[in-house]
Amino acid sequence: MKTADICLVLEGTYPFVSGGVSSWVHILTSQLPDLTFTILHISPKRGFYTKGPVYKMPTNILGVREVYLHDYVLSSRGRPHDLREKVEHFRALVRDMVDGRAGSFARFLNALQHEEDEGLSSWDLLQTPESWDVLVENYRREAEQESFLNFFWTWRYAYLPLFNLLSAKIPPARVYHTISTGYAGMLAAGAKAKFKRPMLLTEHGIYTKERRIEINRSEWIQDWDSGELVAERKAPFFRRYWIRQFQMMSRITYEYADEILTLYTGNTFEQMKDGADPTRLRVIPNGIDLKRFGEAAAKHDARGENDRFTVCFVGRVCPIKDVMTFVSAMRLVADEIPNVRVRVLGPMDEDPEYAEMCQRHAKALGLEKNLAFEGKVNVLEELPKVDLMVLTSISEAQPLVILEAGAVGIPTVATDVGSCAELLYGRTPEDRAVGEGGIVTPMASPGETAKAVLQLYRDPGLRHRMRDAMRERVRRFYDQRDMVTAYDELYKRYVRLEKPLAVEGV
Amino acid sequence: MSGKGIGEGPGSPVEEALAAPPDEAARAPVPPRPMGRDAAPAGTTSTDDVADIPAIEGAAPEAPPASAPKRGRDYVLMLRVAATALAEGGAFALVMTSEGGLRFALGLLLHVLAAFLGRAAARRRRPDLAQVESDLVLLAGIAIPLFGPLAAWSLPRPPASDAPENAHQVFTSYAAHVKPVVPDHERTLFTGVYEKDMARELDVESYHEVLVHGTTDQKRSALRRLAELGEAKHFRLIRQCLLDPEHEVRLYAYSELERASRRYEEEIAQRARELKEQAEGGEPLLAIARAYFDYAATGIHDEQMAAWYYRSAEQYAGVARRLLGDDPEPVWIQARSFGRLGDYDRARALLFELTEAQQGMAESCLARAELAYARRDFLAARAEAARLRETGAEPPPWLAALEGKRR
Repeated sequence: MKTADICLVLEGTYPFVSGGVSSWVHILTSQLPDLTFTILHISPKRGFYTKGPVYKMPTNILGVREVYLHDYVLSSRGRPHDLREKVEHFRALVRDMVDGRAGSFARFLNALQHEEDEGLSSWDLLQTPESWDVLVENYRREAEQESFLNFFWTWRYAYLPLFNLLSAKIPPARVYHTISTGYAGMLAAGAKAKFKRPMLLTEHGIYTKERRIEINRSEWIQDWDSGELVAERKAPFFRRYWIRQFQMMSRITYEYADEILTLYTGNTFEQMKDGADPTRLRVIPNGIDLKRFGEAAAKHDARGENDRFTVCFVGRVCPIKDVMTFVSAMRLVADEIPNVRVRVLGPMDEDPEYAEMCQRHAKALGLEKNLAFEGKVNVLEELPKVDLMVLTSISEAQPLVILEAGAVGIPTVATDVGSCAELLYGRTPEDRAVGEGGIVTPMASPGETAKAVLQLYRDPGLRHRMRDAMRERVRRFYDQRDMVTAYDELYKRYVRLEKPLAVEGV
Repeated sequence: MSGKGIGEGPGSPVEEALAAPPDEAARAPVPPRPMGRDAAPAGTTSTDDVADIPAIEGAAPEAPPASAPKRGRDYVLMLRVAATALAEGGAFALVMTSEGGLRFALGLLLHVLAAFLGRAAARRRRPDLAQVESDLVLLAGIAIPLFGPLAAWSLPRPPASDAPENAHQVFTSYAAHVKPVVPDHERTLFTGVYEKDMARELDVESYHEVLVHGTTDQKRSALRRLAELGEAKHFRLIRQCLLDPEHEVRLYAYSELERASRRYEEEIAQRARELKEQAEGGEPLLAIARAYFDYAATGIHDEQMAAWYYRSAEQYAGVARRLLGDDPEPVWIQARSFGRLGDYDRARALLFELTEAQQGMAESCLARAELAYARRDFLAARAEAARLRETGAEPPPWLAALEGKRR
């Protein structure tokens, strides 16, 4: 593959999945035609994204290379002559991960090398007597009270995908830019160590936090239950083990990143908590195309009052968006405004079971005449027809949909997650002076959401004030051109670096 | 484990009595709360509202008047007893030595005087005697020679509750009150406020404490445990965590609520399918009314959504009632839904209707008692307890506690 200016290292997103991060990548690559990109995409396994790319990629994307987390063949390539010595690097890496240090990663990478080289293979690290000693030693050190069998499989599933990734072929590029920590971050760190080129990190949501929540909520990790009704002081061992694993991946990514970027201030605190160097942190907010949405705003203003008050939800129909709460809230709204029109605009294929449950819920609540699940639509065409936007997500970073609605002149009722409050009420004193652009409600509270919707329905004056405030806020603080310019400068600064970077330990 | 003995830990009635300021010490033992799953009408009490329950007369010993004697000799009392005894002795002598009517009459008069003196002495001994009790002392004093001074001298002294050494006496009085309404095997020092009991007896932090001050891991664990307990009051506590400052904790609370609601959602969907398949007949309607009511009562929802489910349950039950005729269950669901929606009058009317039809009488009495309890109308609740006994059913402990009380 030809050397690109930027290699975007992505996990489970563009160009195979639509959503906020994917839109962001698409905008960035499309708006920077002077730069060339390659995409290194981490997929769970071969053939996972059966539909192929869901975006029409711009021509400056030179290619997409997929690497797979769970596609591997464990086979021996012969015992390296210095296996014992190289396994020592693995032992050091494991010890560092337990102790919360990242120092031995580069040395381990150096020993691992590439599969075609003389370095270590996954077989050497998992199937040899030397690696068995490392496993047993660690079991004795930290998990002697736990089942060895569970520890063995946890160990294997924690390290095997990692070895698999780190020994994958990485396309050459002048700058590596990862959009999350975790596996993508490790891959980008590996690329930096190998090619000695700069590495950037942009976090939309905080990967470690998301994984921690996911692990703590998961039901596939079996815990030993004492049976006592006591609030445990710490999570069960295997949950902690997985959480630590992801924390360490983040720490290594932060250590290797030359700049750590995020979308809003709140995230920077989380990043510092996870070990990011404050001097490398920077916030570049999301932005939207004011010109395109300006036309939609003109349509919105020209259409006059709707016959039916129209409330809209824009987003994927998936659990994180808590569409169930949205539907419940709309039931309460429909009790007060019988002819309200409720539209759910967004793809329903991410979690078909959940989407079906939402539809069933709407039916059970008797909303057939009011609510419609319309699937993926062109928001530029549909937003002008809407009076009010509602977002009931349980987790968000900086939802573009609020900015898009705001640019069109639609106030939003959103849950108090991510930067929603920042977007609606303002971030800085100057921003706050613009006024409120919507109402923030607690999560999973249909009553509160409905109350806010009804308040805006009954007070057109307030709605208009919020419309004006939101338009002004988006125009002044969330212009896409600012975001693109910031990344353009950033990329060009690092692309121009001629001298290879020194990486400790390599 | 701290090794603390029962009742010795913080929050025990004994310790509260010891720790309370002098004028509050007598009231320190709280009225007993109903215990167990069916102890209190759902939605009427929570772990926080103990203080809201009006004191039930007799549930806790009344505070003695400020003039109550403490310790030491009461010379006025001694004087009165002596005077009574002298008068009785004089009366006895006069009667025994009388030959004619005058000495005998004087003896009787002195005896009556002694009885009055005896009453005065008894009042001195027990300033909290009710009028009827002091009148009884007087009458007994007239009827039984020497009763007055004996009664005045032997009446038990009231507890001087501001003296710390009397805390045990206060507690004994409290326990004596509890005994008639709580079965022996349940008669412990547990207050019924689970969090407090757990903190005291097991030396573990209460869920409430953990949810306010704990680490994220502790909060997650507490939320999981509360969801496992699975009563409405637990889910209400989980709901409060949707406002936790930490987003992660809010998500864990959401997960527990979502996990719990899934089962009910599926149940409702199943009932809706059955209703669609059998368009006629009241049974599917009743089933869906039942599912809505159960879902609303879980505590999973916020107030408005729960109200919506109660309204739906009531509406479905209303239609089912017309179709099913004699079946008491739809009326029952309607009445309870109205009760939960705060429309007590309609709920009461429906329950009386149920009683008149002699259907599920014990249950309707109990439901009316719950409504009365929720409205703090303890007289009406007591009347319902009496009606419940007439049906041959035993009132639950929380209702039995109201029986025989004067207000």
